[in-house]
Amino acid sequence: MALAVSDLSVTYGDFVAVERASFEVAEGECVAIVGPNGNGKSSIAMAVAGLADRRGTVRLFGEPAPAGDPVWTVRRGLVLVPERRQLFPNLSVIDNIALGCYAWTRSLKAALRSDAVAHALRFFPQLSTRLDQKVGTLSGGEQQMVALARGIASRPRILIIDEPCLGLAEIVSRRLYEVLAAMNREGRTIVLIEENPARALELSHRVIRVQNGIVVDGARSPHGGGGGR
Amino acid sequence: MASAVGVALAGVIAVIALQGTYYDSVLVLAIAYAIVTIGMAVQIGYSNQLAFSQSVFMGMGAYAVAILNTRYGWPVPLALVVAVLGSGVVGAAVGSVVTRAPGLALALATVLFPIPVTTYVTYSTYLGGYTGIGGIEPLWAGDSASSSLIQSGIVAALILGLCVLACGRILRSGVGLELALSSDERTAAALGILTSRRKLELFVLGSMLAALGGSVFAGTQVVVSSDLFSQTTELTLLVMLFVGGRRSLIGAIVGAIGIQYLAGSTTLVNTHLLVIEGVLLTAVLLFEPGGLAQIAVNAAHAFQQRGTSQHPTALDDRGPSVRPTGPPRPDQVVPGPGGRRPEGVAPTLVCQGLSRRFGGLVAVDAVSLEVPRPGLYGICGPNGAGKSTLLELIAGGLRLDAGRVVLEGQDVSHWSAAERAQLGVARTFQMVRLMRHRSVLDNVAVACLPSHRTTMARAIARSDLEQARERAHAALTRVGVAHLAHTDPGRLTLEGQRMVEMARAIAAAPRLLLLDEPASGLSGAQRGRLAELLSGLGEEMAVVVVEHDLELLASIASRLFVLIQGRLRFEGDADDFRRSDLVRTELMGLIGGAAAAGEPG
Amino acid sequence: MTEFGNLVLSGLTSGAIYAVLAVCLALWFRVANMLNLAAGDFAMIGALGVDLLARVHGWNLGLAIVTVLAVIALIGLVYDLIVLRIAVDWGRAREGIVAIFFFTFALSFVLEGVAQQVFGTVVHAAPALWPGNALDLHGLHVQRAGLLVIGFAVLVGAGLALCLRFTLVGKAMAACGENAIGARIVGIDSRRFRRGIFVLTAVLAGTFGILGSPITGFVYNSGAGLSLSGVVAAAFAGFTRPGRAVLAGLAIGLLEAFLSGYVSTAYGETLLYGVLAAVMLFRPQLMGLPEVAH
Repeated sequence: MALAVSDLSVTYGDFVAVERASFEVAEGECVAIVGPNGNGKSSIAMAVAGLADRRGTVRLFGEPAPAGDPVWTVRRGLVLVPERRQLFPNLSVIDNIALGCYAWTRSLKAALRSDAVAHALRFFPQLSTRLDQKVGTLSGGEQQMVALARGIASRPRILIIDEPCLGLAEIVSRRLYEVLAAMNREGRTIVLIEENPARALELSHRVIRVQNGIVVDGARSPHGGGGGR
Repeated sequence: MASAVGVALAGVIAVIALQGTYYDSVLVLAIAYAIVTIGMAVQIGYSNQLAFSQSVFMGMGAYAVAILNTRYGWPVPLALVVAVLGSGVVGAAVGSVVTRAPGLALALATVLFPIPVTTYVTYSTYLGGYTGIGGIEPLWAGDSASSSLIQSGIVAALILGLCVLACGRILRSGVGLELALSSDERTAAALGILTSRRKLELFVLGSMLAALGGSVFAGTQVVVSSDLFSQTTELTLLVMLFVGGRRSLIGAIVGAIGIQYLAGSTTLVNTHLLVIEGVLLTAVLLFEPGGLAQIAVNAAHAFQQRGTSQHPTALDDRGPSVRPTGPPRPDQVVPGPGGRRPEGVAPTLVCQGLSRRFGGLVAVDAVSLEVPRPGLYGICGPNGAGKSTLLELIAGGLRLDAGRVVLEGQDVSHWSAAERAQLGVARTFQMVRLMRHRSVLDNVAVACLPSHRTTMARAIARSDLEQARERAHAALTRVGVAHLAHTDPGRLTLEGQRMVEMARAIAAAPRLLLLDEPASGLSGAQRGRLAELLSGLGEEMAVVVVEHDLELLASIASRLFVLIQGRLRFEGDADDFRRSDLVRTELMGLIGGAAAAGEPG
Repeated sequence: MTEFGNLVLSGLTSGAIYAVLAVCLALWFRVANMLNLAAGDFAMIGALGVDLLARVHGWNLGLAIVTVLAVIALIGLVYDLIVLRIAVDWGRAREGIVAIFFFTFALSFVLEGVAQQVFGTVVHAAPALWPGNALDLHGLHVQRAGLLVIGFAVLVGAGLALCLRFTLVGKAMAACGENAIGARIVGIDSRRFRRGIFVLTAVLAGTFGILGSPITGFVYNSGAGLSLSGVVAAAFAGFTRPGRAVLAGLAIGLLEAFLSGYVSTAYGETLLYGVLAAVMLFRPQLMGLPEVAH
C-alpha cells in the first residue's frame, strides 16, 4: 500500500474535524476523497502530510509516519498541493517551483537543471513565459498551475491535491485534470480531494466518501498493492 | 456607566482608606498613569493604532501645568484644563500628519518622538533642564502635605472615573464599532467608513488622555522632570497596558496599579524591575494576550459554562427550513446613510472604456457595459480574464487608467471606494473578513452606521449603535441567517460566512451590489439557496455577480457579460448565452444538462 | 577637505554600526516576520562581556571573545526554543504588528536588567582587536576599529544578499517568512531555520559590539538606542533586503555626521530623527514597507 491510514483523528480545540478515519490507497491508484465542505477532507490531507496534529497511524509505503513532521513525509515522496495553494507571493515563479526541489536537494543549480523541474514546466508551458514574474501577481488559475508544478518538482511518489479547481474556469480545470491523469499514467499515486463527486469520478478509479469527519464509503482498495490502472 | 461609578468610588475609598501609608502615594501615582493607559487601551489595544507617543503628551501635560502654575501663578485646576486642551490641539496637528502614514511607519515615527523631545527638554533652561520643575501646587490643596495628597488623590480618582465613563461610551457606540474595524482598511472603505477621520480622532483622544494623566501627575507629585518624556516611561506604560489587558479599560487601570506597586514594593524587586517587567510582558504575550483582564473574564466564563462543547453552527444542519424571506417590508427599509440621489431615470451603472494595466499586462481593456436598472447581471470568463479587476475598478478599490464609471448619472471615476459606498455601492469579497471580537450582528451593523455624520465627541453623548443593530438584524433575516446574529464569527461555516457577508452588503440598502464569486466553495444545495436569494435581491437592486458557475449564472441572470483576456466579447441574455458559439468554444460550454438541452453542433 | 573626509569617516563608522544591526533585523524579519528589538542588546552583551572577561578578569582576548559569543548563541537558542516556539506554535506570532514589536521588546528588558546587575552602570569598552593609534592617511583620522566595523558590515551585507539571491537555502529562508505553511509543505524545516537565523543574528550583533566598542563605549542600556537605529535603517530597506539595509545604515550614519558637523552638534541627533520621521511619514514608499498581515 502506498498509503494506509487507520483511526485518524484530528481535532481543533473541542471541534472534532476528523473522527477515526481509516482508508488505504494502493500504489499507482488514483483515488478521490469527496464530501461536502467543512466535513474534514482538508483536515485529512493536512494530517496525512504532517501539517496538522493528529492521532492514529499513517503508514507511507509501509513505514509509519511520525505525526506533525512534514519534512519526513516529503522526503519519503508524499507531496501535498494544499487548498489555497500556499505559494510564496513575493518570490518568482521559477523560485517557487525550484523550492519544490528542496525536498531532495540543497543546490539551486541542481534544482534548476533537474528533470523534475523540466517535467513540471512541460506540463504547463504557459508558465515558461512568466518565470521571473512574482507569483502574487498571477491569476488564480496560473497560481494553481505553479502550485502543482511545485508539487511535481518535489518528485512525488504520491501526490495529494486539495480542491485544485476551486474558483477556476472550466478550461483551466480540464488542463489540471489532464496533467493529473498523465502523472497517474507515469505511475504516481494520486489522491484528489474534490467536493463534486461527479467531477471526481472523471479522473479517479475509486471514491472515498467523507461525511462529518467520518469515512463512510470506499475505504478499502480493490488492488492488493502495486496495481496500475 | 456602572463601571465608571465603580472605579471612581473604589478609587476614592482606597485613597481615603490608605491615608498615611506609603501605599497611598503609590496609588495616587498609579491613578495618574491609569488615566494614560486607559487612552492607550482605546488607541492601541482596541483600535490597533500603534502610536507610541503617549509619554511625550504626558510630559507635555505635566510641564504645561508646572509652568502655568509655578511661573505664572495659575491655579492648578485651570492649568489642567488648558494643558489638556492645548495638548489636544498639538495632538490634532501632529495626528493629521502622522495618521496618514501606514501602520508600521506610524509606529516607528512615534517611537522616535521621545528622543528629540527629551534632548530638547534636558537642554532647555526655561523648562528646568535636567532637574525639572518643582514646587507645583496640589490639585486640591489641604492643610498639610498629607491631606493635600489625599484630597488631590480624591480628585484624581474622580477624574479617572470620568475618563472611564467617556471612553466606555465611545467604545460602546457606533464609533466604537468603527474603531474596531479601522485597522481593516479595505473592508472599512467598502462599507463607506471614513477611516482617516476616525484615526485622527483616535490619536487626539490618546494624546488628550495622556496629557490629562500628566497634568494629574503634576498636580499630585509636586515635581516634574524630563524623564517623564522618555522612552523608559513609554515602555513602562506599555508594560502596564499589556499586563493589565490591552483591550480592557479596567484592565488598563489594574495594570497601572499593579506595575506601579511592583516598582515601589521592595528593594529587591526594584533592582530587578527591568527583568521582572520583561518576564511579565513575555508571559502575557505568550499565554494570555488579553492580560489579567482576559484571565479574569475566562475564569468567569469557565465557571458559568461547564461541559457544553461547541460545534460550528452549520446551515446544513438546519435543513431546508431556512429559506430567505421575501423583500423587506417598507418599514424595514430605512433610507441609508450618505448622500443618496433620488431615484431617477439615470441608469444605475454605466462603464465607458474602462482600462487598467499592471506593468506590461493589460488586465482590463476598454470595457464598456451598462447596468440600466435593478436586476441580476452576470460577468463570467476564463481565469485571468480580468473579472475581479473589473469589479475593483467599479467599486473603487483600483484606480482607472482610462475610462469612466458613472453611477446613476454621477461620474465617480475619481471617487474613493468609501465615497462610492456612501453613494450606494456595496460589494462582497472572496475572502470574507469579519471582526473576531464582535458578534455577527455587530459585524453587519457596522455597515449601517452614518459614519460621515458622527464624531467621536458626539458619540460620548449619543450612540447610533442600537439603530444600526436593528437594521443589521433586518438584513440578517432577509438573507435567512438571523439565528446566527449572536454567534462568534470564528465559528461560522463557509456558507455562514458568505451569508453574513451578504447581509453586511445589503444592510445599507445599496443601489448596486457587486458580488465576487459568491458561490465558490459552496455545495449544490447551498448554491440553490444562494440562487434563490440572489433572484430575490435582483428585484430590489442591481446585482452584478462575477462567477465561474455558468449554470448558476445562466439560470438567474437576465443579462450576461463575457470577459476574455480583459475584453468584453459577449453581451446578451441567457438564451443567447447558451446558443453562442463563442461561449461554447471559449468557455468549454456549460457543464452537464444545460449544454445537452441547447442547440446541437 | 580633511574635515569633510573625517566627517565622512565618522559617518561611515557609525553608519556601519547601524548597518550591521539593520542587516540582522532584515534577515530575521525575512525569515520570521518578526522584528528583533533586542539586537542592540546582544551587541551590548558582546562588548561588555569581553570587557569583563578580558580586562577585569584577565582572560586571553581570543578566549574571551569565543566564550562571550558562545554565551550569546546560547541565550538566543534558549529564547527561541522556549519563547518563540510557543509564540509561533500557539499562533501568537500571527497577531500582526503586536508580535512584531513586543516579544523581543520584552527580551530587551530582561537582557538590560541582567546586564545592569552583572556589568554595573558604568560605561565600558572592550579591548580593541586591532590595537594601536588611529592611522593617519593624508590627514584623515582613520580609527582602526572603525575600519574593522565598516569592513565587517560590508562583508556581512554582501554575503547575505548573495546568499538570498543565488542559493536554494537562501530562497528557502525567504520562503519561511513569506508563507510558513508553504515552506513546510516543500520540506523546509522553518522552525530550524528560524532558530538558526535568530542565533546567527544575535552572534553577528555581538561580534559587531566587540569590534566597535572601542569607538563608542557601551553601558547596560545602550542596546535600546542601537536597536532603534537599526530598525530605522532596516525600515528603509523594507525590512527584507540585507544589501539595501547596509546602504541605508551607512547613509543614515553619514547624514547624522553631516548634520552634527555642519548644522549643530547639540541637536544633531534631534535633527536626524526629525529628518527620518519626516521621510517615514511623507514618503513611506521609500521604505517599501511590507504589508503586515492581520
